[in-house]
Amino acid sequence: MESYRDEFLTPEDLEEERAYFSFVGELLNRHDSRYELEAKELVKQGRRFSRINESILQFKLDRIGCAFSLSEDQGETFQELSWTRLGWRKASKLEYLPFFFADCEAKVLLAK
Amino acid sequence: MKNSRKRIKLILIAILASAQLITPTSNAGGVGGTPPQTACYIEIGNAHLSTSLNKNQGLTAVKVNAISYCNFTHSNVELTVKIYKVGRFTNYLVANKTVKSGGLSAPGMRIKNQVTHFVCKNFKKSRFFGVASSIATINSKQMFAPPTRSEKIKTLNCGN
Repeated sequence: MESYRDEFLTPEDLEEERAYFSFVGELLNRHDSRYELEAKELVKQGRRFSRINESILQFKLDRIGCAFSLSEDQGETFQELSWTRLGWRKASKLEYLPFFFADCEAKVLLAK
Repeated sequence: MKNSRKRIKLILIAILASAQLITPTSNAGGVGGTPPQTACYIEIGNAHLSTSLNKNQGLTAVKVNAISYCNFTHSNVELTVKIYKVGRFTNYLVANKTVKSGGLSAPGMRIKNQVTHFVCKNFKKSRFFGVASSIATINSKQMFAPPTRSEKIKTLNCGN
């Protein structure tokens, strides 16, 4: 794959990025079966909540994608932080949701 | 007569403005980054296939990086990056992600969003670009940096 680098990024930025995605990979390996179960549950119900310490994570499916919102005030308010296109098909959603879960959880865990 | 000319001018401007908005190569704001003579600005890169995601996860994914700078002490920065795929009639949002930086940020501090990506579903050639925008609190006022678009639309082997 041809390597691309934005001029405004420093080697430290790139190292940070590698560490971030490596952590996402670690979470995905560690919680693979949980993410798969949660993906099935989300596809069935359309919405799912989980908790990391004081933060409440909300995943909401629409026809083509999934939105991730976070609440830091015990569920009073949620702020949407991420959305990704997963495709129309249920199989496609089930395939790509575990990585999306790991990515969102990594963000919350690293912010702590 | 003068009034009708003015009206025609206004209608023309409105048509041109709306055409700019719906064309696939429309620019949501500045391109590449607002010039750094302003106190706060954003720099955004072009869409590319992520090497770190490919190495770590074996995934093919499109990624767009952005950085916001501010020469003032600012707080509560939110930097959002959206990735669009160019369609035949309109552009499609494929991913967006907001990075938050709570608390005070010193003047000149960089807030990075290097994590916005879209996992490719196949290797079909598609064209992508990113748009970044940010919100920050400066002197107790919420300030918005206008959306800034990637300099180039890139053709990548990534379909959805």
